[in-house]
Amino acid sequence: MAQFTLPKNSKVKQGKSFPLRGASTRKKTLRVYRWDPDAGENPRLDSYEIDPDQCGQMVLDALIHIKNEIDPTLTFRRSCREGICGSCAMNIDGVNTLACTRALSDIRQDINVYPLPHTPVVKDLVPDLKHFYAQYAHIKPWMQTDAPAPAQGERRQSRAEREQLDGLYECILCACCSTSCPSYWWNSERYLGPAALLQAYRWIIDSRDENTEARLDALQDPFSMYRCHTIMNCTNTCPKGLNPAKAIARIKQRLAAKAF
Amino acid sequence: MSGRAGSSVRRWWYQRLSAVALLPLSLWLIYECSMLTSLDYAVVRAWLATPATTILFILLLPALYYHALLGLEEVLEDYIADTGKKHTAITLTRLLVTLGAGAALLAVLLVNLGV
Repeated sequence: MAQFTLPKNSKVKQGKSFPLRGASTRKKTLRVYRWDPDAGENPRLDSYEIDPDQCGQMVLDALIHIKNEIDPTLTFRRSCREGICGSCAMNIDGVNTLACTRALSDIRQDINVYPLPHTPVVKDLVPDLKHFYAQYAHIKPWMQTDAPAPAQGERRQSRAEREQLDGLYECILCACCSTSCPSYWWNSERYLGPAALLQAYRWIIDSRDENTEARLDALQDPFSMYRCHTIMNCTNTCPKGLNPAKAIARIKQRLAAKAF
Repeated sequence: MSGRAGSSVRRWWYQRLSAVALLPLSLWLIYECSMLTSLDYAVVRAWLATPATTILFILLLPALYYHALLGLEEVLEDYIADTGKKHTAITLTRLLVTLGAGAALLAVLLVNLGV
């Protein structure tokens, strides 16, 4: 059966508190998930009080402020700080999103910050995404053609053909959607998850790709795609406003049309 | 069950077809029930014995049980990780649902024939 309770050594305990030094009228508290693989201890929630006037506007700014000024042991991934690299994906205030595009002021109460759900944790807010990337590679995210490329120039698309890729090519593979999906939580070894399936559809619908049939056939088994039960968490949580559930529905339509 | 390419696509289709079939049939059933003058045994039995009601149930019961079976199978596939246990549970469920559907159909027919 699926496991519904955490093992003993995974139960999250109350951690350290770092009160604000000095006064602020806009004091904000962040409760951050901490786990160190070398310490041999349970994960804990450390709480940090910060003055939002001392750092930038976003949750990522607050985390960087904490790391620089309060607790240098705090570990998280970040890079572009403008929602295009997907590195700082984490669970903030109960929702998977990018720390760099989530404003502190949008969250009224204390801000809970956890790593992406149901992923193995490397340290603190850093999840292990090896399997997620392997699933992306599995759908062969590159153009496959038999016909040789035109002698001069690139493979052309009409304006309408190019528009088919809108809402798909913008995916930054931050893993917010897949790690918010209950089907992915229970069956991630065999179910590809919304991110990889959106990418699969991105190549199925590409007018230049010539391997469409094989791409569809690869998703026909009961697990690769059909564990999707249209729960829609993926679409709700996507920090880029994309709709993986719709992409999956389109693949199901294509397969259904093919079957009869 | 698992593995056979194409079987999932068919199941997806049948789930939707049975759902669409259940829409008018359920409405018909609700309408028929609302027209009953009382829930007295004799009244309900007489209602069941009319040809129209028998036809309704002969259409409704297979669609209903089949749709329920597909749903139950999905749940078992989702939550039972062990392959052996999964197949046992699915086979048992199929057996029970088929028995239930058979018994219900038989009951409707027997009432119609006045046995």
